[in-house]
Amino acid sequence: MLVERARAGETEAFAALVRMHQQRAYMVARAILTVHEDAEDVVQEGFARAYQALERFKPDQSFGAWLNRIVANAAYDLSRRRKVRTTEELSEVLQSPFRDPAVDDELRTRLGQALSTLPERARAVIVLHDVEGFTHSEIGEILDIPSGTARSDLHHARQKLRALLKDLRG
Amino acid sequence: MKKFFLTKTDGDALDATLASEVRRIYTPPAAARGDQGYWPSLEQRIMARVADPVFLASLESPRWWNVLEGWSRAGLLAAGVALAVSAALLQNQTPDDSGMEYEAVASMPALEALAPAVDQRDAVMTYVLAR
Repeated sequence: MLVERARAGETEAFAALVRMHQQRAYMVARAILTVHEDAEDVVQEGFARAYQALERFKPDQSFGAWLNRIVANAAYDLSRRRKVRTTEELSEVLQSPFRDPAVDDELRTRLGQALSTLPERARAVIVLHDVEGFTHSEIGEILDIPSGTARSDLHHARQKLRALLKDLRG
Repeated sequence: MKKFFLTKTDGDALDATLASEVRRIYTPPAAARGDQGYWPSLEQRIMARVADPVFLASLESPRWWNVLEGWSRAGLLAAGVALAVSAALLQNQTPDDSGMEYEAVASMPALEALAPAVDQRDAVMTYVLAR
């Protein structure tokens, strides 16, 4: 098992865990933070914290779930230190990496703006569920909320997103 | 403009077009541009951090301001409100109120005044026991 080998000090085993889980860990961080550079930092910190805490990892757990919880906690810590960011700034940040003229700019712009108006947790829940495919209970575990709360947050977030984008309906 | 539908595929789930746009928004910019080296480079940076003893040590010792950040905001707010209320009460207390309180205390019977009553009771007890 990779975790056991990493625990025994085999760096290559930990690198394999990084390869396996970094994309989802990034998505967890990005769902909470919205800013790419912050998400990258948090993923690196999350893996470093996990490496440090490998001794405390219980073999009956899923490594991915355990890691994602660590990453989410690190993301929330950073988010608390970044609360000064305004909605306008967030909206720009959400749109900025996607200035590809081949794709529909209006939809992207409106979607970026709509997402930036959602509360932090609602945004995280909708991204983790509808984009990443996590279940309600997995989201509950990652964000440290009951799965029923994840379910109702998701419902309200979708309703709000729909209301904000209703004039774009085809 | 491209049209899309917010169809209800999974209860009230977002439709595929919208979900894929959200995914695109949340993809790292380099990876979204098709840079195949993005994830291997992130892996290298992660492994460099894991191998950095200074960075690992910084994770071990929480800084005092981080500890303060963890304090409950509600607790601090409650303490602030309590302080404000006490200050307001003190400020609203007029000199007359203070005088009345002093008078009330000063007019209470002193312990010496109670002493005869105690002696009387002792005398009654002595009388009853003598019988």
